[in-house]
Amino acid sequence: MQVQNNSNSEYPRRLHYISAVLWPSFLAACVATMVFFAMFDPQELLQIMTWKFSLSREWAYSLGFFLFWLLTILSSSITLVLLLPGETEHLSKET
Amino acid sequence: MAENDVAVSLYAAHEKVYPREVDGRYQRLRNLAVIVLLGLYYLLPWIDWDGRQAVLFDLPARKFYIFWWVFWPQDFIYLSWLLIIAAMTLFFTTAVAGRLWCGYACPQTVWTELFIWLERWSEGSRNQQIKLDKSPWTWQKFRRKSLKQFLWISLAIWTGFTFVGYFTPVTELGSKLLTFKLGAWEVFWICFYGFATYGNAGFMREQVCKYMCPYARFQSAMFDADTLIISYDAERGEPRGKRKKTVNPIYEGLGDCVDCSQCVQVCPTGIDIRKGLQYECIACAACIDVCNQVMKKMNYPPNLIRYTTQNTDSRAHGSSKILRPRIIIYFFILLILVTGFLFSILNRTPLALDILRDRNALYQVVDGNLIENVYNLKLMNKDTRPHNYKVDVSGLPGIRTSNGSLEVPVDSGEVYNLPLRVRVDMNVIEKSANTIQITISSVDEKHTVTEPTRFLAPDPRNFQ
Repeated sequence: MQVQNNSNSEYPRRLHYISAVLWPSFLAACVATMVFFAMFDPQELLQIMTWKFSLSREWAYSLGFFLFWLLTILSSSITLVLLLPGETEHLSKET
Repeated sequence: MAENDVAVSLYAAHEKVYPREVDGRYQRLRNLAVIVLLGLYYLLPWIDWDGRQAVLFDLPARKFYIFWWVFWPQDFIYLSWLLIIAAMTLFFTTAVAGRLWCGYACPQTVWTELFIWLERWSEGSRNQQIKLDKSPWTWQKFRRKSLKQFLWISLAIWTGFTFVGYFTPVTELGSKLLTFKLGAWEVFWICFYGFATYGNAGFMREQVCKYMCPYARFQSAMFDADTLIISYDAERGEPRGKRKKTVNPIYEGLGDCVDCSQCVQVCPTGIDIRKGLQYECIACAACIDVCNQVMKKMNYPPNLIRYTTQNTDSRAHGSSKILRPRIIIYFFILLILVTGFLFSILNRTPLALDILRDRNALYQVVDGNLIENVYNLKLMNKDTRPHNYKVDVSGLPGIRTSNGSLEVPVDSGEVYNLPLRVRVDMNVIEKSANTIQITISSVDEKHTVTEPTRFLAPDPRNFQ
């Protein structure tokens, strides 16, 4: 019964946290990707890179999107961590 | 059932909502929305226009085709403008009619509806689904569950395929799919979008609205007491209770609510509308439909649950005002945005001109008495076909180009660099900084662009 109760409160919260981080950061990354690649052509950016390598535009767009998403996930996660209650509070609740 | 479900479902520890099938005016409206919106989504990539795909976001070539228009990265303003219009439309409709978007048009709602249809088709009605989930694994259960999964996964893959079809020509993509020659990124994005659809419409469903949707959180900011909401008429319905159809509820001391819990069973978010306005309510109006059916059976007047506003409900005001400052302001902002957008898109010239002055010399004197300025023109042909353009200069008496009469061929999508020497007789110049116009027009006179620039000359006082 104890286990059930725990899972009852833990799982939706974990899901809630994961979706609260992934979803807004996904939207922000979409916008950032659109704005960025409307301004800059990846082919032109590659020409002025220090390390020369070639990449098709499809690859560049997809990679760019995931880099942006990584960045926004990072930002959202930090916001989440800062909003979570501190460790001591958490412990006192459990005991 | 709840306890077991809680332990096994990783996606959420909550009771699965089994929305009961319902028929009625609003459900038919919802069905229509599903068919129209998803029909558009699935069919649009297959429409041909001028020998190309009508709607194609050609990312590798950095061009967006939308019917008769082609957009280049320089036209990004239109996209952002369109997004602002979309947001404003959402504010406006929310202020007038509440969460219409959530109930009828949101992709989450629409795809969930489609997934629920498939679920019902393979697993049966609400009661059959609940029974099936409770029952131990039998051949029958396995058959029904795998049929559902098969349908869901096929639909999800088709959805992902259609999504990628907006970015890669869909017929090409189709033939690549059939011959197993899809590129890595195409496969990835088909799976990504397909998986998102499957997860959101098959499993997450109302939890997306409850936990993930930002609009669900801030839509209340657009609400006021005159906004349409779905609400239970507690004054008329309470005290609720079961009764025989033949009994007059007044003699039993009962209101009109027969406490059949149908409104709870049809609710896709699993709430009880009789508890009042709740943020989980996506205003799908399924409870209105089902309650009206019950009222009809009982020979009671309809609309125990109905679209109403807080002002109508409180009865102090009696009725609601539709025209209120908030609505009028939203409407005018929207009107200005839409007219501006249409005007600029209809008058859009598929030709762009950038003028850069030559940085080396401000001016030079040639042939004794002519002042010459040098410019670098960047011509961009944003049309779908090649054009010949001619260049004209005006703004000073006797102004001309040294290149003579110019005609340059520019391919579709090409940026053409054109150095231009402009000459003016020294004697007509009255000041050192003059404004002139450079005009580019296509030979067929269809597209014309005029840009002003500066023409520099020595101070006339120095040489007169």
